[in-house]
Amino acid sequence: MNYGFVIDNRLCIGCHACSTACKSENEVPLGVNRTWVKYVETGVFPDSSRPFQVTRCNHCANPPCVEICPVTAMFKRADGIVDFDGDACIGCKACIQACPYDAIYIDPDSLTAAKCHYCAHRTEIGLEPACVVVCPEQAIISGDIDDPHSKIRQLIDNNQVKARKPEIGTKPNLFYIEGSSVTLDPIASVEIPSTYMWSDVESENKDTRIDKNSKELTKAATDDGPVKIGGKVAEHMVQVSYDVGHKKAWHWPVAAYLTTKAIAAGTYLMLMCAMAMEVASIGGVVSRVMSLIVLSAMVATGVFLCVDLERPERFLRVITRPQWRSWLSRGAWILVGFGGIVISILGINLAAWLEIRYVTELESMLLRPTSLLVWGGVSSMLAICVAIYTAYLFRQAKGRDLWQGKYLPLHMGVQAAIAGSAVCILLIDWVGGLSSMYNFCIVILSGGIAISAFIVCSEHIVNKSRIAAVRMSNQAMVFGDYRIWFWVGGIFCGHLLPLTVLFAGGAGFGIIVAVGALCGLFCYEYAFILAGQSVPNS
Amino acid sequence: MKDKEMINVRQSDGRLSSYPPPDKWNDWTEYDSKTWPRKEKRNYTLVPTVCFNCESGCGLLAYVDKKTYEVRKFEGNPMHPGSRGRNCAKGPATHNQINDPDRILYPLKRVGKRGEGKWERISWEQALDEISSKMRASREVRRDGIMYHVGRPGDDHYTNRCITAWGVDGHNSHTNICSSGARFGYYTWGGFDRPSPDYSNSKVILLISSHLETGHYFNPHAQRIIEAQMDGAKIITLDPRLSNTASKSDVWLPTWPGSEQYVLLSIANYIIQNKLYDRDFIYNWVNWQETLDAVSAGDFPLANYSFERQHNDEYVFEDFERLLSVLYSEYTFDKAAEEAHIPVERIEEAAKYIADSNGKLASHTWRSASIGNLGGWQVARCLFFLNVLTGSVGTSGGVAANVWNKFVPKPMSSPPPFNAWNDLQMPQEWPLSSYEMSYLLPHFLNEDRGEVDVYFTRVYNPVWTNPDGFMWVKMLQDIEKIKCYVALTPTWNETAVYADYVLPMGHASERHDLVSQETHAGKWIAFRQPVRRVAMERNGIKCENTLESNPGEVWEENEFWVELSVRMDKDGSLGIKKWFESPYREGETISQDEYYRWIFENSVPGLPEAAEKEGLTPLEYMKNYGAFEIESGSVKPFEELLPTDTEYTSKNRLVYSNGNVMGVSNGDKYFRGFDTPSRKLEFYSKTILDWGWNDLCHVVPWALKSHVHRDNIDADKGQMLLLPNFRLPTLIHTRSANSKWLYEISHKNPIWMNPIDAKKRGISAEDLVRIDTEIGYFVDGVWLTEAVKPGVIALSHHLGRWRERDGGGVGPGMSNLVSINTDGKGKYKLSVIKGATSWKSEDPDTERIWWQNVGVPQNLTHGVHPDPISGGHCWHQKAVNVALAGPEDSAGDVYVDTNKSVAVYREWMALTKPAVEHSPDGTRRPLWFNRPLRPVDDAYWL
Repeated sequence: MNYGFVIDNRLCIGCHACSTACKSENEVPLGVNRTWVKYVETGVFPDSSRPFQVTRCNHCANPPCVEICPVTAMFKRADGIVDFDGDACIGCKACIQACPYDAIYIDPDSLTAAKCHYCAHRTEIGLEPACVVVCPEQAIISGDIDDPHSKIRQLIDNNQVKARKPEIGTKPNLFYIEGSSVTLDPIASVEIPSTYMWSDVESENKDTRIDKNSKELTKAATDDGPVKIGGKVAEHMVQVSYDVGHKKAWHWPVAAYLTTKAIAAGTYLMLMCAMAMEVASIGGVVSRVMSLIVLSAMVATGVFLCVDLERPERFLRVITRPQWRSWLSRGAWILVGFGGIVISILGINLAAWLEIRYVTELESMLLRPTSLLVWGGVSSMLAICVAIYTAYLFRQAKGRDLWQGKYLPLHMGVQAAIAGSAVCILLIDWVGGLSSMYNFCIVILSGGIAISAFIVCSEHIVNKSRIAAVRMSNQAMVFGDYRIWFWVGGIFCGHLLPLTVLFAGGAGFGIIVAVGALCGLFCYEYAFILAGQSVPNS
Repeated sequence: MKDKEMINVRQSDGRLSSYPPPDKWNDWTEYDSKTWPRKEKRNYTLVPTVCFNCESGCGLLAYVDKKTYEVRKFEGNPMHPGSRGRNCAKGPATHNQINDPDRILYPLKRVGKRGEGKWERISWEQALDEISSKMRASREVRRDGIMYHVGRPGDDHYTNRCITAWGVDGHNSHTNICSSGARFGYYTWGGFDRPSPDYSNSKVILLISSHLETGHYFNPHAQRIIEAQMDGAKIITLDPRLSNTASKSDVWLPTWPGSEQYVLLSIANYIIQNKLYDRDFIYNWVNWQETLDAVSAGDFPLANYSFERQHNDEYVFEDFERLLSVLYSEYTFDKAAEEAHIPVERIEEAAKYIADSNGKLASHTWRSASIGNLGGWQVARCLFFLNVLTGSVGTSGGVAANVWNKFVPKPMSSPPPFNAWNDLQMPQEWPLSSYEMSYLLPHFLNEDRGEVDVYFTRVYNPVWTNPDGFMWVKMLQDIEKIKCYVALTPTWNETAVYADYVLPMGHASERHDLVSQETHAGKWIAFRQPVRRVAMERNGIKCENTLESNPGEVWEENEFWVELSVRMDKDGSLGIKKWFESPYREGETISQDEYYRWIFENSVPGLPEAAEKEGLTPLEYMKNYGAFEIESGSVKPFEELLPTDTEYTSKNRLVYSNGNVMGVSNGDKYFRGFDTPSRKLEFYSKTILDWGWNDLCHVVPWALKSHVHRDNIDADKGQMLLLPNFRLPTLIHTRSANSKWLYEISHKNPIWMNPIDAKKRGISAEDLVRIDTEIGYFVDGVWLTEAVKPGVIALSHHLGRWRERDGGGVGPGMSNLVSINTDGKGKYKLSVIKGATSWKSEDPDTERIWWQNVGVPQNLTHGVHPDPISGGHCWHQKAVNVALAGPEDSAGDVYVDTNKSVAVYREWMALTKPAVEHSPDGTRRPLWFNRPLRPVDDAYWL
């Protein structure tokens, strides 16, 4: 059994019956939608037309929402339905980022993720989904796509069908007969209009514009080339005339989490370097201060992670009912493991400070070169994992093309190095013994900033991605809604200011360098997170 | 764990079922969708009823919780032959209406001034006593003092029977702002006033209305139109706006409004000149002899055409063919293309499809052009002309008369027609009017033509719906003119706020009605019933009346009318009471069950037998299944031979029995024919000619020049044509604002404007635009789109709800809070204080209202345009100026000078040919023209 949908656009009249039937069947609140009918107007009068598209969860064979869900709240049933369990969901919204189709939302009553679930509560007793039953045209066909005798299978076999974004590899189980490229492609239209034909536009992206200087996008064009309506190239108009809004799922707490995590990992790595360079010992004040900073940053990281959850009281489920393919679960365990090490080091340090028995022996044993190499190396690897695992989480966020950059793991590592060295520079004035690391910190910081600048430049400013959604996100980041965060925060505070001060001002301005770098990091992450979510997926 | 008591309806081959099987409806368990995948069971009884959210009468199936009697949801009723278990967006949204946090729950009586918004809650007892005594007082002195003004009837005879029993000429309707143009066109062809196209079997579908999204009958028709298209039928749509229907069409003809007749006649001309018509059909069923008789007698207005008979002795059919050829030769494709301003190739393409339709042309016009334009009734005449030419009348795939596909069963008794004529409804200036001149009532009262003692509105909101709404406000505020105003309504509206009594009535699932509509080739009836009451009764809880099962003290009209009528005539002296007696319990007042039981047992052929097969009484059958199919397939009653057991005489082709015309002779056979004076389809309308319209352009299908013809719109002066009269697939006239799911999808009406027109005026997408009409102006945003014809602006008039205060009005999420100021000299200004807002109520969704713009009530700025013949309001407006809004304008502003309204009314009044001057025989109206409630024939005389 493998349930799927065929939407037969030859039959669909755009009446929205499926939309209200779904609201009724599933008690879907206002402002969120499990299924809706997107309208696009295209062509030039009198050759204009208005294709409709019933738009919803694709019940993918390879569902990214299931892969990313840290607690198995999203799950693929044996019958092909991608279902969800609100009782399990922690509201991390990763599934929303993972879905390339804008199919998932947070239910404002339960504060958990929800979407079309093929009316699994109905199929369980042998009934078709509500939208299928209501449709005046029987344009929505449900059934077993693996059954060669089923109507749905035969429709798929005997007609040319299209799916949304097949290139992502999600293998949608929803197929459109006569799917229109202007509705299938979420960014076939040049811009989000200020109104729709009979409704307000509910969008947080009202100011997002595709680069109008970019030739290929000023015309109605998809990644497949120009749009044709009845054999004519529709150059004049492709505009969305009805669509529903989608709220951005992740906001500043995620940027803050990325920043504090970089601080924790980077500072820890600097501490290890200090130990390797024999600037610090486990029991010493440098170690105490730095590991305290790491621990605080870790706590902050955890807090920001929880702040971002819709159901923060369920945060422990990431650990207690992990879904091991999810980098959220893996990351949580990495954080837990790393936190354990930091707490151990801090424990030993405090024990040494309090002169507890045997601790000196333990300390000297741990500081022996071979043992330092082993545990220091292993824990440093873990710290690097702390720094960069989010890049792999972002890679699971299949709905965010901006976050798929190939340099992202490197960039996150570099950001940790910048943060760690910045923290060290901040500490130098107060913590004796660290001053000998000044030059090392400067090298790390300036090197990090240089690499980061290169990545930022090539990934965002040059903006030559062949993927239109990436170009659109970059447009929003560099020239659109987030340009101040990006330029003033990310580029000036995070890159130009520290470098300039380092080379022009010299030693006395360490605090400016460090604060600039850390603030810049947050600003950049904020722009990166928000701009990544600014491109419509439906 | 296996759930043993759950019924699984998966079919044996693995397929899912669409509906719970009817034999399980009384006890059906489903999993709760909200707690899923936790399996919580909910136990329902499934009660069928009928949707009330447009005129289609589609089936609904209410899922009533067996413990709480909460109606959980509405699905389709698979037993309904019209809707076949499916619904449009408005069906499921019935759930919003019954749970509307703003609904009126108790009878209210005005305590302040009219429109002041001050109410006291009263009992139904008090309401019934006070209103019935006013009605009695009126009825005792006159028979035209009570007026029942209905928006959505919902039933076919029930209320009309009550009014007839009161013995007054009291029926008023919304029809003349709606369908009367088309009705007049169809009526003068064949004596029926609505078409019933058999889309399913058609080869060509020719639409002037947007039947894939609105119109009579949206969901049932849309199903069959697309079915036919999939089977190879071609859809041709005339619409200046790219409706969803136009977008789905094979040929879209974006005609300039008012030019439709040219396009249709050019197609007719193509068929005529190439002799592609169905000669036999025309020979047998068109009044060609009568036409030629008129030519022969010199009565036929030939205008400048020269036409003489070719044979010496008499006119023959070939002469008629020649006449057609002569008359229509000027309607060339080129002329049509020029008038309509569309590519000529498209008209040619359409013509070829239509000429090739082989008796399977399914055509339809309803509101649209036929109510948009001066002379719009000719759109229907011209459209049906194509059916006549192609022989697509009553055929499979053709167009039938509504009455052939509609079944109105007789109740146990029918009061006799009244002897009265209410000139406020049917004034002598419009003797041919399809329906009542309803929307002119304020102007009539303004001219001191009379006053109304007791005025009922039912599901009707003229202040917002009708053109010239401020005239309605003025009228309703005048307690000398409207002495008592009773609003029967399920929801608050802009008119009810001026009422003396606001009486809450049930929605689709809270009332009784019997419905039949001509949705396809077939006949059915459907039973609307109060579903909670039925569910309670299934559980053994007996309800004395529907009040007991409805929320608060919401009642239903049917029971209210009975109670009101009985109280109006407590002693029976007025002869009213007897019509409301039970046929089963002598002397007792009839109950709803008894009323419908009698009908189902006695008036519906086949129903008692079908019920018996299932071991049910006919009433139980209808309560269980909600619908019954009487017959299916196309019929041609006009071809029926007259019964041979009667004596007939024949004169001038008409067949008489006892002095009454019974049919028509064709050769030596006597047929029933059509319900026209000639008993044939009337190509030439002697009636129209006789009533003063004795020129060619009126008496045969012809193009009349619309008031918004391109000659009348001066583009150089910035004028445009405003197209207001289209519906959206998600809206329900005045009751959408109580459906959150529908309003979430569609809540505003920006001005659709072609970028060419916008560029000329320097208008960009974010701008506000001011539209000046003949009597005022309004300010709104724009939707720049290639989906509308240059020179035409379009905005749906189904939006722009308002309230003057919170509480006792349309809800805050669905209406603008406005102030209405008047200078006391007839000028009105409506200003928006704030747009839609979220608010707190028992429904958490009201706090999630995310939209602000809920549109502009443009109808306020429309002058009344009564067509001098059909009486229909010609909706299209000349936008005398379309320009960027000025600094003093705000979104949603509406300004009207009612002095100008009166001037516009008089201008149009001057076009009429009153009966007093033009009646050929001293009647006010042709005797063969029906009325919704027909008085005795004597009342027809002036």
